[in-house]
Amino acid sequence: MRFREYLLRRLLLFIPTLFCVMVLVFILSRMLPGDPARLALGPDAPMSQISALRYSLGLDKPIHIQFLIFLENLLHGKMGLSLLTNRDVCQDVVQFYPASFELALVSMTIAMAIGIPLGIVSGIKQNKWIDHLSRVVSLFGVSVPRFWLAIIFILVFSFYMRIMPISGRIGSGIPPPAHITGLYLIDSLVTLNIPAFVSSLKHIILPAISLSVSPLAQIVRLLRAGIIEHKRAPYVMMVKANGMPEDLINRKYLFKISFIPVLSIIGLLFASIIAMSFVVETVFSWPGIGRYGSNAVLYADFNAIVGVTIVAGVTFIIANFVVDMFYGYFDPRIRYG
Amino acid sequence: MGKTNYSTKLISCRAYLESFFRGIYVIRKNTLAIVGIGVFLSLLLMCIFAPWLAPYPEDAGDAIHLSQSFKSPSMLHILGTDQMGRDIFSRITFGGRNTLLAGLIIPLVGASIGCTLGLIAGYIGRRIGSVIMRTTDVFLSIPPLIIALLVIGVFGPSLKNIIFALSIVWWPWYTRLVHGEVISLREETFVESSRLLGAKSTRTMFSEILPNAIPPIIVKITLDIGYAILNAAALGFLGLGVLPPTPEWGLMVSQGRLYLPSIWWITTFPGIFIFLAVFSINLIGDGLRDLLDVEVM
Repeated sequence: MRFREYLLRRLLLFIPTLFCVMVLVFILSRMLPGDPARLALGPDAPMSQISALRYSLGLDKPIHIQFLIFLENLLHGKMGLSLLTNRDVCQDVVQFYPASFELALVSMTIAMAIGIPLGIVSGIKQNKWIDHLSRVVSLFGVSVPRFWLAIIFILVFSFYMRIMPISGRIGSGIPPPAHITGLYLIDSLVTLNIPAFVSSLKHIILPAISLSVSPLAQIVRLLRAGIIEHKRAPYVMMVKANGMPEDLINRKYLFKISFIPVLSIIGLLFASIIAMSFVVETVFSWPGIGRYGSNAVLYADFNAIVGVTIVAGVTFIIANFVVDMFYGYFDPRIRYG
Repeated sequence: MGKTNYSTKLISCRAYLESFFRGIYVIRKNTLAIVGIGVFLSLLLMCIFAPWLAPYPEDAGDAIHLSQSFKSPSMLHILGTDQMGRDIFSRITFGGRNTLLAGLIIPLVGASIGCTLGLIAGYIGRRIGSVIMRTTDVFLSIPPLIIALLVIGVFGPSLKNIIFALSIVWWPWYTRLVHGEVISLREETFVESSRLLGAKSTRTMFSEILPNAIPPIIVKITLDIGYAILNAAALGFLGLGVLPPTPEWGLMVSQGRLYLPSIWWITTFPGIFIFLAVFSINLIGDGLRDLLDVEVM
């Protein structure tokens, strides 16, 4: 019952945050120097045409009405034409988003699948060789530029060893799997399209690993610190003195409480993956929202920039909401506090 | 009155010096932090003295020696040459000026904006405080690099705009950090006595409360320098920073990408320098964190 209340409260907080993000994006988009109508029509356009376009874009209305029009268009899935693809930005987003989402999910999975065990072992076996190794790995992970690591991966695994593809999402001779979710790995599994699955798995590994190094490192560092801190806590000493087996103490008390700070930054790590996908997607020519967005900034495709910002912001807010849900589940103090 | 003031100042000055020397003593035992300081200072000095250290200072600009292009590392060009025949090492020494400058300025600007807002929100509180903290939440709810991209999209690519864009997205963390510290310090007796003695709120905020919140801020700034270098280099890599032929580490990595795999040195070496800078500053940050015994994310 209380948990449901907590969820509802989080959900209600979600709306003003989303609204503020929209306001921020809108304000920034109206700071563009020059008149959008004149920019769209070019310097030689007659005044009558410009004012006609201003009228049809709603630019002659007061700013708060313009904001409402902006929101209304957004709800109808209209974000304006993209200069690069010459279609509505919304269509582009729908096309490119699943690729990025898939990449982010796979990198987050890699980061957690390696980071959590490594952090636990490192914390329990403090100052043993495995701990030193994982500290070196994690320090390397937070310090290495991801775009550079991506290039080095391509150099080593694609050019020299020739075991990984250089770029793209799926092999050129293989037709993409039937569109169900837009995530190639899932779609090809569901339709039992094994060649497509293998090919898309091979294509996603290098970009996903390059994106996951930094989140992985941060998970290891936090988890290690948490376990070391709680290992000597009085309540752990107490159960130890009572003769509870080490394994059971770890599983029942230590891991759960040390995991809470990790959970709290997973939303942030997700954000860093989304943000860094801009560079990593560019390196691997991954047809996702990041590459689309960085091209948009490079060619000053303003509608596309606004669209990508909104999508990234919304993804981040939803990710944080999901994390908050787990957070309340793991740590009752948060639910009831 | 003046005399007492003078003597308290003297005592506090002595206490500062003592803790400073104790700090040096403690950090001396942290080998990794010393290594970090050594590496980062060398990189910094290398960039400051670039005009004297670079073997071919003219190569930092738009010099073209096509006969020298794509030379692999040798005694003549220790890190090789690029497509225009320019010496990579010379370009790295000059390029670091841009990358490191961005890395140092961004957290400092972010911290000054963020700390001031955090102090105001925590100390004055009430309505202004909640407005500031809600705004902070909004900024925290969008990935910083994305806002930076939006800002650069509006104002156009340049190093100045990268620094500007990243600085304005960097402050929310400091606001939250300082706000938390202020809330816990606000009710302390020394703050109350300062207030009772009739100090203005600005004085209480900046000379009573802020000094007590300094350790976590310093650690955070140090660790953030690394993140700022990585982010600035990433934006440079996307071509949103300095314009060629000006060298910048991220941009150099990107330029070399076209000539892979045979010409590997153009891309590899600037990347190693970015890594070294961030790695060393992280070692320093970790050392400081242990030294000052604070928890900073």
